[in-house]
Amino acid sequence: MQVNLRIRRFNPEKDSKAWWGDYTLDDVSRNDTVLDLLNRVKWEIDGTLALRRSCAHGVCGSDALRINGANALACKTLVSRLSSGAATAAIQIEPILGLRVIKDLIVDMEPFMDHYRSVLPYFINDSPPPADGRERLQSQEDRARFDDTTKCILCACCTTSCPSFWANEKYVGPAAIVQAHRFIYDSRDEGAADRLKVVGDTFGVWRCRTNFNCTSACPREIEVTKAIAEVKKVLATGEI
Amino acid sequence: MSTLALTIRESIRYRGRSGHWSWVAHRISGLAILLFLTIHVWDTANAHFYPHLYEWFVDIFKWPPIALGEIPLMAAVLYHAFNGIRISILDFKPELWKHQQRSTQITWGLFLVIFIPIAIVMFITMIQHWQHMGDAWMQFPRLSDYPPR
Repeated sequence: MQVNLRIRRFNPEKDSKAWWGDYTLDDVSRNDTVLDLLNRVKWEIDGTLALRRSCAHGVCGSDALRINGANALACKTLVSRLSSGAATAAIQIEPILGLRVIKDLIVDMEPFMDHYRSVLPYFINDSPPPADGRERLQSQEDRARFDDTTKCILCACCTTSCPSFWANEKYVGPAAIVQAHRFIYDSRDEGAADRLKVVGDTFGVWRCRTNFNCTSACPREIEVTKAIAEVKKVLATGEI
Repeated sequence: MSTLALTIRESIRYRGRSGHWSWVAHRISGLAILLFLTIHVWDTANAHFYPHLYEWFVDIFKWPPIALGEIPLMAAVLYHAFNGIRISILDFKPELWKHQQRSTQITWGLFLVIFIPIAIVMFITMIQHWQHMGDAWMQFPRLSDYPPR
């Protein structure tokens, strides 16, 4: 099949503003991913196209893009999902929103990572280890409590799909709250109070408007809005 | 990188699902209610400070193009209320998130079932009022007809 690809381009050394590049690709398989198409553009048509990619299998989270208007990972989005079955398909690709575009599809992830770091995304427990000196045991039920939020790959699909983040980049965003949730609900962790201080602040969970864009965008199918609501509930009731 | 222009433009361009469009409708209805309340508070304050202006405003509200605006205002109030309840329930009961798509459909359904009869009653009442006014029904109230008291 044929794909008409529209890619948002911007080279800060040459362009004063972003523009649309149109590329036609023939002999595209319906099983190709959007990343395959972008690679073909870069390797066969225009080598100046800039994009991030690494594992190409939905694990590293580096190729989060806005595909046909909604956030997704390029390597996990099949052409078949974007076409109606006709011989020709149109696909539009833009960088994710709310972060500064460095070049073409590459955005500055530092503000996103700053929010990630702000919720103390690491295990905190200063109490002495168990008498046998081995691991701190946890029941299967306690582990299951935060299982979903351990799946995050920090691709930023959720945070950059959130209108509250578009409106104010100081908002910690869904991804950072998911990370906070992962440790707040970990029965072995003792840093919940410090994390709740960050996510309970003016630019924390209360900026969430419960519109579920983050849940729809997550390539790992994490129940993001649910995790945010659970953190809101902890803040409102004081009970974990 | 965040700007108001970006937020407004991309809220419309972003291809979100039902939750996104409910959020857009919630914002628009909220702004419509805020606009009405601002006018309403100012206008009602006139009843104390400038009674003749208050009477003029009340008659302006009965002028057909403005009066018809009360129907979308009613829509905004009803939708904002129902969707607000939906969001509150989902915030307090996170485990219900799996039903969020159905909840937006129920909200729109409930809104239409209640709004449509209200809109019909409002419209019929307006027509009866304009019939009662005779030929002057479309005449815009002139300020000179409301002298200061």
